[in-house]
Amino acid sequence: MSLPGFWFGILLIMLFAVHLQILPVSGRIGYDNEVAAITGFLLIDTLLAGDIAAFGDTLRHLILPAITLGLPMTAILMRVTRTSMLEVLRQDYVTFAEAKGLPRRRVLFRHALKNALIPTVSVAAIETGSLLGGNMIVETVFGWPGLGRLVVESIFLRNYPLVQAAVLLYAVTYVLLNFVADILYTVLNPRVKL
Amino acid sequence: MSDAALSLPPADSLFRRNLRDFRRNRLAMASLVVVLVFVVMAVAAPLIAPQDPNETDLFRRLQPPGWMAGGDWAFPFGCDALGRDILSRIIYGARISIFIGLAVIVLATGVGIAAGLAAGYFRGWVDVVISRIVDILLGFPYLIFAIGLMAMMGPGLLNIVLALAYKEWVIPCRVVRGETLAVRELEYVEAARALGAGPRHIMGREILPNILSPVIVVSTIRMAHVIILEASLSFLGLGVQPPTASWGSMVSDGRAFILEAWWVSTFPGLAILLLVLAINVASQGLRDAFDPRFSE
Repeated sequence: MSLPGFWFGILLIMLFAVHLQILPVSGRIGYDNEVAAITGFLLIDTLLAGDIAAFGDTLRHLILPAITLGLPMTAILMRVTRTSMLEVLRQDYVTFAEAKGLPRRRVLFRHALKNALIPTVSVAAIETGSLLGGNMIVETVFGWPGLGRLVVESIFLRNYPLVQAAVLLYAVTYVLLNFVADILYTVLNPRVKL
Repeated sequence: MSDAALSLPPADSLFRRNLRDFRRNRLAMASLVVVLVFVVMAVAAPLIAPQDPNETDLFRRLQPPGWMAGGDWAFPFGCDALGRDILSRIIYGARISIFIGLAVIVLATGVGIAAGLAAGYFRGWVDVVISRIVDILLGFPYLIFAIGLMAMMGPGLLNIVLALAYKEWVIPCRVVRGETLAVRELEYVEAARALGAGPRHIMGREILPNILSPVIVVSTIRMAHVIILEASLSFLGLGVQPPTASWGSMVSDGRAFILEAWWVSTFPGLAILLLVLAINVASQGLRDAFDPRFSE
């Protein structure tokens, strides 16, 4: 959790792309694999074009950015789930389930984990905000032509209306994601009503 | 009988007991030492740095670290694309990171304490107004908020501090408000009120000293976040402007040369990691020792 995301991305590039040369350095797809844009989503477009090699190439381009963006969040969610799992495992109904002679795995996953996931869901929703911000950095590191890099570049070009619109768009996305998390909440915990 | 045997053992105050707990935590103490080393490095940068951090020398362009072929031990971590000594720039960069971290936390904690005390003590419409502002600010992703502000205000040291502090204060504010709500009902506050103390005295002298330790703990934990945020802003080019050395912008400079010169971005990143990790571990030690909710 102390790793700065931008540096972590660069380290990954050095290791997997420069040193081991098994993954591409940056971009979304290799020049030789480009397909006609239909949806704009390269994974879908390559499949629509029936080009499996290009699909694989797109996936390979996704690996490093996805790890860079996702790993810090994994660490946070792991810690939250661990804390809440420790708390849930002390509850009476867990002891009861064990006393009934249920297999350990069933107790852990069905009885404990389902309840322990409630704080994880809300933290995940809050953390999507840092994912949106992290996108600016990851897109800069990996040279992706995304909204994040657009914002950063328009700041340098003093294109303020664009920055304002993008910040608003980010904020709306964030609120929507939190709303989805609230709905998920009621699925996990029927005692909570919207 | 000797004098020593006659004297009573020193009063074992809660603060002393907590401090002893903290001292026993070896990992936290080690981290504290690392943090102090960075602070000393930042303060004494001109005395420690082997080279001038801004002196360019194109003959030393991308010179490798001292232990590699073509390296020179006068430039232990190598040189960047303009031939500047990376170690010296890291030492000077510590000034920026630590100054911004401290300035933001001090400013944010000050504002947060004032707002949190007011909200928790007066309640009513004061609380409603402050809490709504806090809610609105919490609804914004941090980095995006800071980037938006930096875009509006333009780069610069003072502007980074302001851009980060604008949102950072809500965190101490929420802690202070919650603690104040609990403490304001206690007997000693009531006693002070019965003696005719005004709200300023009660908030500043009665409540604040008793809620300070969780606030300090939260502030130190947040400092690590602030340092990473500053580095992220600098990485995006929105932070301190060149040629001033800042860890984030050094990592960014090295990005263009990762194929031939890995050392340019590796070492400044390592410095960020080390400082932030040390602050995190030390502040968790502080929390374990000083926050009663976490003591076993």
